[in-house]
Amino acid sequence: MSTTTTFEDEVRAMLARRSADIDPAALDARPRDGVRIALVDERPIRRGPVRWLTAAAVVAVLAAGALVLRDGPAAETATAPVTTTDATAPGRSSSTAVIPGLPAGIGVAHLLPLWDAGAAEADLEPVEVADRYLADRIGVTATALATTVPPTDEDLVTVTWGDGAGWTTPLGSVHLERRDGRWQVIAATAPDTFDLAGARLADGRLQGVVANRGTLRWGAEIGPADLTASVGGLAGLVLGRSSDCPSSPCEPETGIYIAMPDLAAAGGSTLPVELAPIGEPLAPVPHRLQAVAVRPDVGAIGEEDPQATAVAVFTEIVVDPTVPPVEPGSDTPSALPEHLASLPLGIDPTVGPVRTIEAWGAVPEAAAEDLAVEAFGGLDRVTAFTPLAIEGADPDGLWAAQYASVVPLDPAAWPGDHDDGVRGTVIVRRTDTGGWTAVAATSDALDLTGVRYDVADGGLRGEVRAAVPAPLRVTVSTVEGEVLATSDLTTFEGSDPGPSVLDLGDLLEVTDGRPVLLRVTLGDRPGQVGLDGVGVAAFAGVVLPGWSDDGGGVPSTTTG
Amino acid sequence: MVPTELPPADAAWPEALVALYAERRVALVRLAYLLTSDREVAEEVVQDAVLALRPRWDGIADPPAYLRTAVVNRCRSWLRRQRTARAYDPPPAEDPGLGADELWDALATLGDRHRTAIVLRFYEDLPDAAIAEALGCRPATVRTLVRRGLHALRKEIEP
Repeated sequence: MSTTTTFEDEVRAMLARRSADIDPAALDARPRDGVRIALVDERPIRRGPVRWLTAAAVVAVLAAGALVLRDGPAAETATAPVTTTDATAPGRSSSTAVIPGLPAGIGVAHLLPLWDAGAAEADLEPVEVADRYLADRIGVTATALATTVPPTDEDLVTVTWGDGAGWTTPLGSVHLERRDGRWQVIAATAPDTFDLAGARLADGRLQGVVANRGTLRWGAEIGPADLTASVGGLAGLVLGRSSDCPSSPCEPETGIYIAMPDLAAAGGSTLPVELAPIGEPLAPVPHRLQAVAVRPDVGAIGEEDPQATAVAVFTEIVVDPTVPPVEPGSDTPSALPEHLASLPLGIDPTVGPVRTIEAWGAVPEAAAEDLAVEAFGGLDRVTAFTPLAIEGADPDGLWAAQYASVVPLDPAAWPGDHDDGVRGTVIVRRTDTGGWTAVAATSDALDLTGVRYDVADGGLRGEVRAAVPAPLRVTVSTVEGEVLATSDLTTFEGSDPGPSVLDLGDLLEVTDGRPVLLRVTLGDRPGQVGLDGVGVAAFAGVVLPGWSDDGGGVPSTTTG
Repeated sequence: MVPTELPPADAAWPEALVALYAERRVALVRLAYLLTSDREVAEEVVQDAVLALRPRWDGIADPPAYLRTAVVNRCRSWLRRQRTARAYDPPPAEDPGLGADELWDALATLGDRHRTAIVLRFYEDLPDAAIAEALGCRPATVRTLVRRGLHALRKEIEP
């Protein structure tokens, strides 16, 4: 009887043979104790949605956003000083310029070199350095489409690039600064794709939000149809530690993998990922945060696989957190966008200090849902929150309005016809530090346009109307929930076909300079809904500016 | 035979982890060696993986699988770093060729994904799903990696 030895058998035999090179007697009998410097600090691949992101080395990075953060000491644990680059060192930028697409508070002065062509190549022009960076670091054959020099700083250059196939659509930008006499890459951004404005470094942890805005534009060699099924948005985040960083090259694959939304489940082109707060405080070594959109069946950056060059968008910076953050301010809107201001609130929610209504979220939808669910009594009373539309994305991306349907757990217990849910809008705005906060809410069934709020005396006047015949009540409270004043509850007879109207009379409350929450509820049927006997069938709320006797800090306007 | 008699227990180490190390260390070091071709690195990788496991020990559902994946990941990271280092400090242009164990030398020419897939398949005898889990890819991709890896090995040793 003959035995056929296959090549696979040969491989198997070779592995078995070579494994015997390891002599068990030569190995330590116990794990070694003491502090060790790990070769790589990398968490094993986990199950579930995290799983396939973690293999940044086994998937092609089709679009990427990355930060490399030189971490500060963790507030809870770190006591040793952190070794960081001296921000005042010769050759270090002193520019206060801000590069679009980077996290809030991070300007050029924070950026350590991403790529340095080297002293021997000091004569390279910015476009040449950018080209080498994209080719060597990212694996992209790019075409420089434009070079921009800001009028205020001739040592800064932005090279906008498209793919090497000759497309003229910009895919991203490489930002360079002349330091020590030569051009160095300090950032690569794709602001149309990756929204990193919500990310920040605080207390030794990465916090905030990053998102893919879903405007990926693929090159001809990839093909849009090829990607439709497999890439829909931000695929995940990789938080890594690399002793190589910030000197080039950084290994993008090493890292502690922290989040991996399920791409298939995401289904869309916008997939925000909340960072706050990520894991354990970071060790005082350089860190990298990488957001990648990947296709799971092709090679990784830097591998020999030709598809590895399928990097369409890439964002990367190295941040020195010892540099004080750029003061926010420009992202604070002065007015609600017009189409949001037309909502039947009656009161401009931007009049006073913008405060939360006990709700915040990583994304507009989350903030809106938090608020809506809370308003209707919590999760035990709401069976479904259905986002219907995100509206009002202003050019700055600071405002959004979530139109949604909330289905009560027991529709029959609520006044009016709510079988298909109560519909309304929650207005949210982005905070300076990332995330979203709800600032106002309306219900289709309520009309607050008749309400006036007089900052001169803190009085609420006018009337509230409800399309649904049901009892109405207006409550004024602090944003923390302390009730300051409550209107009478309108009376309602079930046979009354007309709408409910609540005359506020002269609901006056001295707020001692604190902002207050105006809440209007429709439906108040003790004993019918919920544990505390209050059934809220519709809801509207807005934070009003504070008022004080001396008028300090209060806008001198009356709205209504 | 793997020694099972352990030195006195260290209070800082969970006994179960020490036992797991004792039971699995030879297999893990051998696995790491097949992935890196470097004895010292293989042992360091396993030690690092065990050390990293210690603070998380209570939260690990399947410690043996976790430890193996940790070792594989660390080996792959080490390989990537080696590749990066070679890119900036390339070896002499003259190709030394394959040694006496040409298949072993050929294994070292594979990329980390292909090499890992080959080792996990033909040494660990893991199914596609387990390899996919370790590599973070789909089972179908594992089959492709194995096929391409074998093809590359065969091509490498062909006269």
